[in-house]
Amino acid sequence: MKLVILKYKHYLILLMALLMANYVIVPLDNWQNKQQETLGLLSNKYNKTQALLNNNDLFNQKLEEIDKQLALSDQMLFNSKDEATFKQIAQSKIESVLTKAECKIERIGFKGNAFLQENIERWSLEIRYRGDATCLLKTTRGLESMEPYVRIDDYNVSHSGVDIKGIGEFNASLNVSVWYKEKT
Amino acid sequence: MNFKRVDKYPKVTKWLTSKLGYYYNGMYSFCEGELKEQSIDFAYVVIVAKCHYNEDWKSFSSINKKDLLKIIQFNKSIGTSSNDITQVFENKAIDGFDVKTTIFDKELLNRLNAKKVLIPETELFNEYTDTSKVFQLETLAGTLFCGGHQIKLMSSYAKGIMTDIEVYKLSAGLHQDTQATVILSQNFPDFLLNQLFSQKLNILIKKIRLKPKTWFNVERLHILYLAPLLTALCFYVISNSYLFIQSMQIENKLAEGGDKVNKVLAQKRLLDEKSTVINILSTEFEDEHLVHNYWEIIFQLISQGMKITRITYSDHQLTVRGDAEQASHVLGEAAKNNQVESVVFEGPVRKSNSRDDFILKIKAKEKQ
Repeated sequence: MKLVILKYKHYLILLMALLMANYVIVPLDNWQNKQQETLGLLSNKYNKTQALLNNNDLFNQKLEEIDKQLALSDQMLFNSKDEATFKQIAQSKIESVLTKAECKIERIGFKGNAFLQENIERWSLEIRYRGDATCLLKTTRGLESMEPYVRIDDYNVSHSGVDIKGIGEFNASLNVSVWYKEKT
Repeated sequence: MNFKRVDKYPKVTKWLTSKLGYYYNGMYSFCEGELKEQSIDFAYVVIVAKCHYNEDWKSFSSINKKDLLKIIQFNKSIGTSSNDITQVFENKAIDGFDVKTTIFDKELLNRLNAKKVLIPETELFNEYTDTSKVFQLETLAGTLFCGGHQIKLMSSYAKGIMTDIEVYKLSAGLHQDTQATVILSQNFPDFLLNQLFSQKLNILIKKIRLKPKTWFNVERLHILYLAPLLTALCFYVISNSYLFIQSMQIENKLAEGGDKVNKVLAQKRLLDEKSTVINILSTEFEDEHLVHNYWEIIFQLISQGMKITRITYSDHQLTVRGDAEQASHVLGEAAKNNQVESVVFEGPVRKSNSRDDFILKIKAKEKQ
């Protein structure tokens, strides 16, 4: 056996070299490529992290500004703990405007909603009422200057024929939008 | 190809000559046409005097060359004849081959290392021609007779009964008329060199002892691929270690700043969420049209004598239905209003009880 090994030792050395190339050098090369990729990704992550940390103050500043804007916008929304409370508050506020304008309310109804964000919804309402010219003027002024914000999307006013004297009663139908934000 | 061409390059010839030695109980160098004693090691190529080797001829009949070479190879592998020179000549007369073996003295082989190229001197006189030739050479070892034709060249020193060239001719079976070439001792070195440089290389190489394996360690050939392989291995080990350490360092740094980063990321997320809310609300509220201002336009229409029966507001457009004594007058006056961007009739203007019944479509100007 020893003699056989000695006889073929040159071939064995060459074979060992080939095996080393195939099972050591090639995997090492592959590993190196992977490591280079990983290092690149880690470097990018590190740079981004550093940039993020450096911008911490900027984020705080922006957050403060946005909080101020949100506080302002909150005044324009109906902030209620649940939908029923919101509907009750919204309806009562609109009724209050119409009552102050001495209008005769026929119907106030919620038509539907659209989800804008997780806790913000836009609701549409239909308002039907009757009244004189003063009632109409006060209603639109009252709704448009109301807080939270009410947007008049469209309206329809009919009369038997109003002239400069302004005598007679108007039948009005308004579609308005209000915004509801659920209090968390 | 023969050495003769080397004559054209004196420097090469001089260098070759400086590495050439002649061995007879010691080493001699070729120096300006003379043989001068030198140390053993100076020469790479040595012409060996006839007294330091023997020639043995054997005939192998009815055999093919392949088998003969196998026999010779086998004899070499089992014996100690690795230093012998074996030449094979075809012999058609016996349908086989003649094998000439040149065996060097053990004493010579012990003194000269295996790396040296050994040339038996008599091989330089054999030109393998059909013409019989005979030489009488005054060598350092004494007078050497040498002659023959074709492949067989016999040689003998002048001693015993071999007293002169005529006796040698008789013993070698050469014709008495064969002209002998006499080389005197002073011409012998130049004659040797001339004979050497006139040899054909492909023939010369078969007649000399040449052991290239002794010139370098064959095992070192493995270095040719092992060295690059090991270099590559070292490179990969070092570079991978470096990359691994770098990755670890960055990972550690990331882990150290993990809490801070999470906090900042949470802040960023909150900021993004709030920005989204602001953007949504901005989009919602930017579509603002205050309809209350439109009452001013309505009042103007009524002032112009219009009797309004229906007012509709939709898609930022006001539609007013009613009647007046002169619809065009009402339209003209409405168009003059600085709040009105455009005003047109919608549908035809109908006459009813001497009054115009019509619908106005009014687009108000955007409030800046």
